[in-house]
Amino acid sequence: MNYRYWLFSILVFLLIAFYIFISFYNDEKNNVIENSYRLQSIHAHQTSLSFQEMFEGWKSILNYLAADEDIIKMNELGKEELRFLYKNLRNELKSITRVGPDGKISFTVPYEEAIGIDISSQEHIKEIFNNKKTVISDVFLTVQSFYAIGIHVPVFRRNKFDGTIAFVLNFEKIAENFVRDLRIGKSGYVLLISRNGTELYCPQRKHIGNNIQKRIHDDPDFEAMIKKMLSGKQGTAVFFYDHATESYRKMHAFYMPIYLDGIYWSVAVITSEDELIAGLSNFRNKLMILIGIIFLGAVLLSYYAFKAWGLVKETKERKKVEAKFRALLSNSNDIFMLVDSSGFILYVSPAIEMLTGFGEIDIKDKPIDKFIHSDDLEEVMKVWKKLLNDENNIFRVEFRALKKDGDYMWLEAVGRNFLSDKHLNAVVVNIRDITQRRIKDEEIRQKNEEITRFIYIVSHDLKSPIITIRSFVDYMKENLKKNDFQRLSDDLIYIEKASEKMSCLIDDLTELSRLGRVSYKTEELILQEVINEALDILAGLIKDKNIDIKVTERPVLIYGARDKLIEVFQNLLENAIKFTSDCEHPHIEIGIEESDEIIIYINDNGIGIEPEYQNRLFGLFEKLHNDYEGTGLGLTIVKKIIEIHGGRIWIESEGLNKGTTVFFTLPRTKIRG
Amino acid sequence: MKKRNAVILLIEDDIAHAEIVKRSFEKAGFKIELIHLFDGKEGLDFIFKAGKYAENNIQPDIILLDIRLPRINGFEFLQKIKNDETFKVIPIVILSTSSNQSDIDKAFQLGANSYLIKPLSFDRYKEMFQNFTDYWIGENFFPQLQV
Repeated sequence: MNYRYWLFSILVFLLIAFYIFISFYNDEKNNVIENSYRLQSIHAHQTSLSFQEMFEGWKSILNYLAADEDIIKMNELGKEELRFLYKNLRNELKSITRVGPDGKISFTVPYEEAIGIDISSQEHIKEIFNNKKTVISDVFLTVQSFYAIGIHVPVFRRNKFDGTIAFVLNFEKIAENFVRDLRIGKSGYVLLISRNGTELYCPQRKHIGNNIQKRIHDDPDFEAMIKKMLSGKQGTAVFFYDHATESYRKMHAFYMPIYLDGIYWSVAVITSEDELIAGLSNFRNKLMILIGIIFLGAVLLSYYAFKAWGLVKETKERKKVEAKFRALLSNSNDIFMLVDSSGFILYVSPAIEMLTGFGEIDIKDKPIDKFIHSDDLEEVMKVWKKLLNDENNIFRVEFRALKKDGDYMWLEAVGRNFLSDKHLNAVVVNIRDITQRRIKDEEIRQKNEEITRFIYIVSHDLKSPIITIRSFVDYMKENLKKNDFQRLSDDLIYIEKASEKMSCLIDDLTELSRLGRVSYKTEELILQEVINEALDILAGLIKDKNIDIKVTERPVLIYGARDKLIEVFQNLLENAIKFTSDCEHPHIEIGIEESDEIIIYINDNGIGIEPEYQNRLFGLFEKLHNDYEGTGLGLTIVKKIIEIHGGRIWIESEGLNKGTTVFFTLPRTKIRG
Repeated sequence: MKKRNAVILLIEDDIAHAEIVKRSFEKAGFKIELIHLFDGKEGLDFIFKAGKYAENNIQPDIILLDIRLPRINGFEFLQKIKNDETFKVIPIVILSTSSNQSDIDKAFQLGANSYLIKPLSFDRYKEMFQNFTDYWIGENFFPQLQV
């Protein structure tokens, strides 16, 4: 799950919420508007009633007048009566007019100059003259040149039509009086038009008296309403021009006709939508805020829910990965370990048991230093401290680790500091068994040491005779100068011995180096034959020294390189002869002890060896006795040959003058190589 | 103290080398008494009056010591002498064919007073003895030491 998905769901949710809100709001708005139409209709009906009542009032006065003899006759008394009446009603009336049966004005107040003018051509006059019934005119242009409404009531003289009596109404004033205060809200107003479209009332005073049909063409919705009004229909309408403020906004109107004797006017109660829904808007805005808060809460909630869900999912996935990882770890030879900052083991992979014998339980929550050899602890701690202060590098250390059986094994640990990683919060350590490598390393190290030592000793021992030769050559030169020939020949002996020694040394060294490099053909040999060959070589020496030699008679088969084994015996016998030469009854015995391997010993009754020097004898150039001849390489060569054959060699002696026994072993079976 | 010749103990397994040292002293005109022993074991017996030297009552003024010796080598000998309260005052000069730095370092660590690499020129012997005469031993020990 990613943020994009989450964002998308939030957006969808938002849209749905918005849609629901809008539809609710529209429903409510429609209700409000519906209610407002009802209110508007009430107002319209009231207006209608008021007008009807007003006209009824006027009509009743006119009917009274029409029945008055003085008015019928239109005598002086009647004229006086009308003048009086006008005086009292001049706010509402423009004039009171008596029209004679001939269609001429027989009397009028206050514009008496119009008396005698024929007005029979006026529509409402024509109508009343035909119908002989009360008529209310449309707005018309009076003979006195102003617009007005006339109410004409027929006058009968002895049941004979005798013209009309009429009030000419100041309609502007009337409409204003009746309609001005009829409004809904601040923006509401009433539009009153007569049947022919004259605006009887409009909040724009300049429109009053004009025909509305002249100004409706630029607003089709308004025009449609006006047309319906003019055809005497009742209904509601919506249009988008506010005539009161002369600005564009949505307006709602209820219109209905006002029926007055035979004619009708039409009234429209108009209110702006803004005002209608002002209360609703307020409510809407507050609701919006509330919804906003709820929505925000929902967003937050869903965010956390989403996160929690993600966590659950992640945990599941991680468990899977962990299981995989565990399987991998338990099948790996490498050990994986998590260690906290104070050196305690938090986790160790199961492979540890195979390696050290310790189970996970033995190691977990224990400090690492518990398992490290005390000689290596300092080095490990040094690396550990470095690691704790460095998160960028990998650290490596080799140490001996404790095994369950108490032994130690060589391990290599590679660690990296992940302490500030919030997931791990540990040092990750990889451990590998390097015992084999250490053994090899140790072998190599020993070999290197051997080589170094070899070179060192060879250089020393070769240098020695050269120094001698050089020095004595100098002395001989001096001797020659002095003609000291006796000393010359003495010094020559030094040079001779030194060069002899060097020659032997080089021979032995060549032999020794060849032993390491050349492989020899091994064959089945009879031990006694080999010994006899060696004895043959030394026969002269043995005879000279009168040494008693005893060789075992048991025939033994051995495997080996014939010449080399002869050399071994020759060498060892030479030594034995050398160190028994001062004895009174020199005696050497060659014998065999048999076990898993063949042990051969050469025992003499010679000068013996002090125990502390016995182990040194096989070292390069080690000599115990300066007063005996030799390069000091003899036993080294012997040891090497025995080793090549897979055997061991050692010396035993109880001490000085107690004789010496050299033991060596040879395997029974053929060895490879 | 009664005037006498300086006693120099030479521990050297190579007879030829011992002869060279002996002749160098003669050539330089030093009147000395040179005692030559072949290995460290003999040297220790001599100093500590043990074994066949149990009756020995000579204490050398200087010891000239080879490193590579049979039985007990030069380093072991050096260590034993320099760890002994009585005999550590005896100046020990190493005479070796080895110019190996680790040998030189080891010798001085064990308390050697000087280290000379064979072969020595006559001049170096002279310098060495002059130094011991002037600074370490004092004239009384070498009254007849003349060049």
